[in-house]
Amino acid sequence: MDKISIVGASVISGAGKGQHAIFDAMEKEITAFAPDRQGEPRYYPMARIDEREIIWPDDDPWWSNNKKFASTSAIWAVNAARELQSTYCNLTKDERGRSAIIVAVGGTGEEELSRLMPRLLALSLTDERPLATLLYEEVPDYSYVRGIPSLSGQYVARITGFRASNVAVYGETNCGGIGALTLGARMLKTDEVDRVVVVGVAPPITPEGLSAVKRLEGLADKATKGSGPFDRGRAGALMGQGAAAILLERESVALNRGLEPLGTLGSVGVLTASSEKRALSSLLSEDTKVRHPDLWFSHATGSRYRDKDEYATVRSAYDVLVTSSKGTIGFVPECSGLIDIALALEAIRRLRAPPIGLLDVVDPAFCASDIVHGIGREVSRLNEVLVTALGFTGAHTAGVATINRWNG
Amino acid sequence: MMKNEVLMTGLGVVTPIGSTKREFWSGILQGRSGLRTEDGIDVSDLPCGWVSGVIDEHDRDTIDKAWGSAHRTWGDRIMLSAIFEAVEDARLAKILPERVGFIWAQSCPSSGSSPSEYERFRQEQVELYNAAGDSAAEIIKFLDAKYGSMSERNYTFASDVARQLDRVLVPTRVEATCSGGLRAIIEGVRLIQSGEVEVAVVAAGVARRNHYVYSQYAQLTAMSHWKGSPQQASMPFDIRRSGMVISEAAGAIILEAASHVRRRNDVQPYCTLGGWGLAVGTEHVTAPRAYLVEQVIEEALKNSGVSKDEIDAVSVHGTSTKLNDLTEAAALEKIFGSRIKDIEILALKALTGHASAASGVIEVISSALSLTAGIVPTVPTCVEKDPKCRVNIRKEVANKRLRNIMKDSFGFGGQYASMVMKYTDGSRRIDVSAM
Repeated sequence: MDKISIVGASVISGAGKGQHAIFDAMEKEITAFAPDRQGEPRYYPMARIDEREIIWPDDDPWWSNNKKFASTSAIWAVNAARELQSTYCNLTKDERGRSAIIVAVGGTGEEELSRLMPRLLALSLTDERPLATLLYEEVPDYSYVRGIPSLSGQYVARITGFRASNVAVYGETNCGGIGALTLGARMLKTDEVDRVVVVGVAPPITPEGLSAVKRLEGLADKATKGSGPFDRGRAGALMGQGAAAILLERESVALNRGLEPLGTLGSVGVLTASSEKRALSSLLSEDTKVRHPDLWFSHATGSRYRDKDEYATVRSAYDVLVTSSKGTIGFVPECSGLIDIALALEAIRRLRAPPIGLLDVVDPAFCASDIVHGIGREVSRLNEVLVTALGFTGAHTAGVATINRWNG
Repeated sequence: MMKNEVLMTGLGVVTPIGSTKREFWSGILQGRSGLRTEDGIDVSDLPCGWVSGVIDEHDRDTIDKAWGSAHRTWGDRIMLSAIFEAVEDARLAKILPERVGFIWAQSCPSSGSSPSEYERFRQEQVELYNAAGDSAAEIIKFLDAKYGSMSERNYTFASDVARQLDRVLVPTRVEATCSGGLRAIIEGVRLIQSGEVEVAVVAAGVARRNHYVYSQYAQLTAMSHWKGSPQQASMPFDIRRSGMVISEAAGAIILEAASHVRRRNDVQPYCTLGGWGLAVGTEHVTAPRAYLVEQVIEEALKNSGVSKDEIDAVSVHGTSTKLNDLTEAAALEKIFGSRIKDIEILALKALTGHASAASGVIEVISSALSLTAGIVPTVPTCVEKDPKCRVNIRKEVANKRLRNIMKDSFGFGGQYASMVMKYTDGSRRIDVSAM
């Protein structure tokens, strides 16, 4: 069986475009939790994408004709996938026919309807029209279609030319990015396709969504030094927006195309069990066969108790250097795992472990020497990097991936 | 490709024509329609869509009694009912492996999967609007004050299933619009072929009877405009067809590695699954393309090692829209040539309506029952066949051994999927009278 190589990785986050932008921000201890650009009152810190960096293709009329069906998720997915253009632009028609798409997205209609629907439903109490008629007449056309998660993949198919298949892996587990990657790896292992682009998107979260996260996890009400993951003063999750695309390809096929892989997908999996701890420890010990990770991009979001549980589970299995991207760009549901994979590739390239943003004083519950704190560390060996992703509290779901240096 | 043979050993259903395997199959044989005038939602002013496929009131009560809980929506309950019928049917309840694949497709809007759930949603939204208006900050403040911090018990369907089965799940929730159910089955087969698990539960459930969803389907102008008897509203390949009838349903199947079935030696499979074709089209968001239908069928034949001459029936997508049925019939004619007149057409949506992703699973189930019973049901609502759809529609139920069935599923967003179902030595033979 061919190894699975990673031949392309792209990220759009609050830190800007590219994994290097996040990595540099981590190294310089800059966070993306800037004051709100839209001038809205700030309720919880949010690492937002700069919408000015997002563009809609205009190179053929299809794009303008079909923009009406595109949600924010679809638009961001297209932008993330297009960043990989150099890796797929020369594919033949047959090669595109062996190229698949998997998108990891949460609900895609909420942001459009979240402000409209309460107003319409309040109106329905006094309006003479039957409720279904009122909604038929007042809800913007195509809102339901825009809310279909897999439609984002059809746009990715258009921009990449990939035609083998398209599926959305999404929903409540919130390990969507790693879940999508798991499915992609399976498609490659069973030889159905030669390459899979996995795109994850976390569009703007609604106020209702933020409030729900707060009830589940606790939310940080400020994003200042001392509120980052593993800090003794952390008070809850830091949230962000983002999109990422990872292009997986069978190694022999990639090499035949003259590509030099960025890294190898060593192992990947997702489990749901009676507890999150059980899911994570099963993945580490039985499923993914993680060997000797040199660096760990943890899920750690700044949650008081979940950072601790995750750390204890992983550290009981490995003596490993720990970092987290969440203090810099926030937790990006369905997408953070993919972003961390892009960062793992960047770490391998630079032979550096980036420090955790907004981390001031390491909580005594953790071993301070494990945690990359303050300044980045040079590492002499980065052969295997571990990435973990956890579902929201109660999902009892964990995802694990390992990225290996490509030894070509 | 890894070639672990994958068998279907259990099935469970909740549909408008029956909510157990036995009722479902008898409904199919009797041509019993599950469509009725929508009476849970006032749809009188909508330009179409006044008929729905609705689960029977008695079945609803039974399911609520068995699976009702505060956290589960109606959509969750019908899926659990189907899943546990399938586990029982496969005789796996006591010998389920420690680790089980769980692939599911579920379309149950967060605004509510039934009219009563939507009414609750409306009350909450009105309360929110009256308290906070349009201000995001005020909304957060209101909700934080109402619910408090870290107060929520998170319910997820996968963790519920893991708890109910008391097993570790290898989970994937897929969405591929109306082909999502068949795609879930394909991913279940793939999961077993990859060697990660020996048993997988595959389920799809769709429960979207709410005012918003109906208003949006009306906007899409894809719903039936039929003004006659509600039972006739979904009529695949009939010249009078005017659109689909949306419905609620859930289906679940158990997939097992052949080696696992041989080891336990206490169950006969329904059929062998495997050999599929998938494609994504980008020309149009909603309209199907015949060449892609042909492509996925050809791929499914090639990947299953079955020739087109060995296909005895096609379980069609058959939505009853003008365009789908015409496109699908044209593609089938092109594939099968003069044999098209001998190919049996299974078109379950004539009775159940279109339950989106769930239709893919319940149509695989009805096809498996046809394979094992050696019976071809009718398409009772195709009364005046469209002469442009040159497919073979049975007027009477027929006894006929079927070797292989091709299953088609298509969907918005350029989704195309086909898969071959094979009757093989050792598969069940259902005695209809004993069911």
